Amino acid sequence: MPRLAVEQLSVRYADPAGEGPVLQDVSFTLEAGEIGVVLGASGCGKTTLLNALAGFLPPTAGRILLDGRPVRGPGAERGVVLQKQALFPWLTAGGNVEFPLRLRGWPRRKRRAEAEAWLERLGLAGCYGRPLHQLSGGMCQRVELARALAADPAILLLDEPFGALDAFTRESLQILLLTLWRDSGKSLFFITHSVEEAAFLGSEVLVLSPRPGRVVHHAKLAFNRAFLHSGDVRAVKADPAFIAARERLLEAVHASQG
Amino acid sequence: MPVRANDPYGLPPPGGAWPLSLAVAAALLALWWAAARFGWVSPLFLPGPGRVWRAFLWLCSDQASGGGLAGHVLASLGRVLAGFLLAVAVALPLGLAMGLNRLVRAGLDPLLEFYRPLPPLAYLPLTVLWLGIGEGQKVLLLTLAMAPPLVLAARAGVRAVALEQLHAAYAMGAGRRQVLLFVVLPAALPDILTGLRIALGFGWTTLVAAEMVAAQQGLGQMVLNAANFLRTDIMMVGILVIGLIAMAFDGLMRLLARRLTPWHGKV
Repeated sequence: MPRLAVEQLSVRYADPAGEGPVLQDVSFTLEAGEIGVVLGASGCGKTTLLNALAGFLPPTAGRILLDGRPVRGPGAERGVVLQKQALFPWLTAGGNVEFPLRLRGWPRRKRRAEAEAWLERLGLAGCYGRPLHQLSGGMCQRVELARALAADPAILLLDEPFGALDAFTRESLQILLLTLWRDSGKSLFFITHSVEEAAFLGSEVLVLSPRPGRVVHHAKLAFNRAFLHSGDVRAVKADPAFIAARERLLEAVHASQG
Repeated sequence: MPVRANDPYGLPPPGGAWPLSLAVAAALLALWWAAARFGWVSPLFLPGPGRVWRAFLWLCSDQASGGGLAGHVLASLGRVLAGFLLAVAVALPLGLAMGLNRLVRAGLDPLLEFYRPLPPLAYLPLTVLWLGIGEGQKVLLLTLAMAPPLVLAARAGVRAVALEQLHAAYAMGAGRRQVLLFVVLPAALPDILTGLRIALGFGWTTLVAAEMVAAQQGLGQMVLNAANFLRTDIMMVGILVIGLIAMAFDGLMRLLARRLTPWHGKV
C-alpha cells in the first residue's frame, strides 16, 4: 500500500473570481520513505494541493488516502512546513521544537531532551534557549524543520520551505533535508518552483499545469540517493544526466503553460 | 565619522535624548520658581515651588483632614484598581469571544459601537441614580469606562495570529482548545497589554473627574475642595500627584509589556 494516494482530486473555490477548478483530476501515489516533489509555476495550485493534503481544505471531488485511510481534517500524522514562517515568536527556538510534545503532555525534562537532540541534528546545538529574533532566516527555517520532525509525522508536507532563502543557504538546507530523510526514513512531499531543487530532491517529480492544475508530466528520479551515496553535491548537479533531467522538467513546465 | 546602525535614511531616528528632556523639565521648574519669586504672577494663581512643597508636607502630616494625602491617594487607587480588575474580568473574555465567534461579534458590535464613544461623564449621573454616591457607583463607572478599550484590544488581538501559525499548530495535532490556549492567546497578548495600558490611563482620567462630582475622599475631591477654599497650593499638589501616579501606571504597564512580550515587534 502506498503511503499517500491521491485519487481524482479536484478543488474548486466557491468565490466567483476563480471560475474554473484550481485542481482537476489530480492522481498520484507516493511510496513510504520516498520524496514526492510537485513542480509548477506560480498559480498552478501547488499550495492548494498541499492544503488539501494537510486537511486544511476539503476536496471538491476525489479522495486523499494516507496509509489507506481517507484524510479528513488536519492531523499530527501529516506535518507541515509552510512557505511563510509559522514559528511562534513568544517561544524560544527550543520551545518551538518541543511544542508538539507539549501538546501530547510529555513531561518537561523529556521533551527538552528531545528538542535539544533535534536542534543538534539540524546544526543548532546550544540554541535551545535562544529567542527567535536572534536567529537568521536559514536558522529559523531549520527550527521549523526540527519542530515538524519532532512531531514525528508519517509524512512531512513542505510548501516551498526554502523559497525565501539565498542560493547558498538553500543548497545547504537541501543537503540537510536529504540527510534527515536518510536518517529518519520519513516520507516527504515537497512543493517548489525551482526546477533544480525538484530534480535534486525528488524521487517522484510531478509537473502541474496552471489553471486548471493537472499533472502534465511525471518523472522518477534518483539524484537524491546519488547524492547521499557520493556526498558530493556539485558532482551530482554538474552530472550531464542531472542536467538533462533538469532540462526535461523545465521543458515540461514550459509546455504546460501553452 | 562612523555611522550608527539602525539609523536608516528617511526614518525618524529612534529613541530620545534624555539630557535634553531633563534640561527642559529643569528650565520649566526654574521658570515656575522665578515667576513666584519675582512676583510675576500672584501666588493666588500660581504659588511657588516652595509653597507647594510645604503644602505637600502639611498634607502628609497628621494635621490634614480625611487621612491626609495618603488617605486620598489610597481611596483613588482602591477605586481604580477595583474597577480595573472588574473590567478585565468582564471585558477580556467578551473581547476574545467577539474575536473568535462571528455570532457574538454580530450581537455585541452595535452595542459596543454605540457605548464606546460615550464620555463616561455623560452617564455618570445615571450611575449615581442607580447606585447612589457610594463606592459601588464609582467602581461601576470605572468598569464601564475601562471596558471598551479592553474589549477592542482583545478582539483585535485574536486577529494578530497568522493563519500559518494556526495551520502549523493543527498539523502538529493540536485541538481547538490547545490552539486557543497555546497559540491564539499568546499571539493576542501584545494587543491585550496595550489595551490594559490604555484602559488604566482612561480609568484614571475618569476617576478623578468622577470624584469631583460626588465623593468624600479621593484626589479629585481633594483638588475640588482646595479650590473652594482658594488653596491653590493644595490644588497644585493634587494635580502633580495625579499626574505622577498616571505616569507611574504607564511606566509599570510598559515594563510589564517588555517583560511579558520581549519578542513583540522583533520578528
